[in-house]
Amino acid sequence: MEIDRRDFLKGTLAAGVTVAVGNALLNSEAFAKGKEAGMKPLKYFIDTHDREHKTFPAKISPLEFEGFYAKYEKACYAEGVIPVRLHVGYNEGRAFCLTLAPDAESVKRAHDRVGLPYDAITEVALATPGDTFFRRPA
Amino acid sequence: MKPLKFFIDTHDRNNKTFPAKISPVEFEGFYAKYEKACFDEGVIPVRLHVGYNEGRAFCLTMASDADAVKRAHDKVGLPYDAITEVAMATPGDTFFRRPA
Repeated sequence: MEIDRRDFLKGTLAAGVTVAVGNALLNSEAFAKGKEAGMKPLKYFIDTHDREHKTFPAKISPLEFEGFYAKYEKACYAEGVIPVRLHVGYNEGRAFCLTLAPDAESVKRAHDRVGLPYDAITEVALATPGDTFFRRPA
Repeated sequence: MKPLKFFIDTHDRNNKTFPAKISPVEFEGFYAKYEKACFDEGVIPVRLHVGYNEGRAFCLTMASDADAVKRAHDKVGLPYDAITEVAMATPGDTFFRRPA
């Protein structure tokens, strides 16, 4: 009976080690695969809208825009687009949307999902006074 | 300090308000002058978005009014297409009331 219990304990330990090692191998394999799949590099884009070109509503209030924005944000995430910041000119009827996306086509698809026309999508590089890579002329 | 508002001014090669060709290094030299002109006019150049390939730029500034932004451009002889006062929206906005 004593021997049986020892065998049982040894067997259990061996099985546990096998499972643990197996899990570690599977996890590292999954991790390696995940790393390979990874996240695509993203670029910055600005898309533009203008009431005069019928790519911005004739009239929209901040409250109405709030409801629309929730849908637009969902469409962006569905297409792998990050809506970094939208700049909305309610008076002039213009909008400038800064996004991060793998390509302009993803930004286009996010707009198409919510039936939002646009004037242009432009890939942009950014510059701001505190940029660490800004080499000021001597 | 006067209350400041956000503005975006736009430039487009097709409208001759953006250079026919400019490299990031050339822009770096110009930007230093533009930044000085902005500060002279009480304008904060928050962030410039430059599309080198398409020849477009979208400059986000903070200023007391659109005329201050205009004067900053005039100081460096930089034409523009339009200056638009803007309000901002971003996913993490604390004032964003998501529909239920």
